[in-house]
Amino acid sequence: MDDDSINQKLAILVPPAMSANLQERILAEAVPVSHSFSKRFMPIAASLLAICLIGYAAFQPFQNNETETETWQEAALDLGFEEIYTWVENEENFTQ
Amino acid sequence: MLRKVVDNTAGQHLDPDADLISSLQAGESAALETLMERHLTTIYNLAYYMVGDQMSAEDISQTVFLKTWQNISDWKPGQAKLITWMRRVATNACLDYLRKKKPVYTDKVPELVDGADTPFEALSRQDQAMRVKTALKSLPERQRGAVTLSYYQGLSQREGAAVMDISEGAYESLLVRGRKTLKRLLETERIA
Repeated sequence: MDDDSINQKLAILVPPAMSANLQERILAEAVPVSHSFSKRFMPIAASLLAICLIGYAAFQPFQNNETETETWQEAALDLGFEEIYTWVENEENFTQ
Repeated sequence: MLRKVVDNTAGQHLDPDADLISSLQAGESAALETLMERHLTTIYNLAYYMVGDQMSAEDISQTVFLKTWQNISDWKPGQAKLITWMRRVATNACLDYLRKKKPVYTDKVPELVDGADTPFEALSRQDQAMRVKTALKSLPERQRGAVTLSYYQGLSQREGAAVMDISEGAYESLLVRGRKTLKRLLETERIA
């Protein structure tokens, strides 16, 4: 049997017609794509959030230090250790 | 997710469905309808030749179009034809279906009807179709896939290999073995 004969035999098999409502069934199952917009902008939103978090984390220690320094300074003033506090501060600054 | 389909034969400028991509990505069901008008028969026929059953072929066709609809937002224009990717989804779905079904391979096809002048003449067209269907079903799944894509879908070896995600050499090997097996199975008609 040559190739042409096989081709002729294969040609005999024809699929039955598909159900008339197949297209409607698929359309009914195709839920409207609502996530495409959010999907497109999701990376941008994630990047902005990451930048905010990094910025917050980076600046937070400085704010804490400022607050801590002010608190100690006020406490020293209240307790009358202003001169000692100033001397310690100066010494620290000098050694740095 | 849409996997990259290696299809060197087609860029976006050759993709006949390039005009539908943006509408599909925007979620316009009219675009899906147009896509079905273009390719539903192709996908259904591919599935039917692979699984040999109308209802299963319809279910697989539905799966292919819904997957396309749901994943089209990830489609990168220019990398391949959309229909190549859809054929790949369909072929994989058919292979999965056949593996779950666990077909029994056989070297035999149905017996011929006695009492005719020649067996070949005696077979009605429907009987012949049934014998071809049985012979196709007897092929190992991947050989059946290659025969279906090349013969019934008219794809070149390069396109068929892209759909099955294998090398052209491997595809050619599947095709040659598939045709050889078919030849052996269908030749028994003459002997019987």
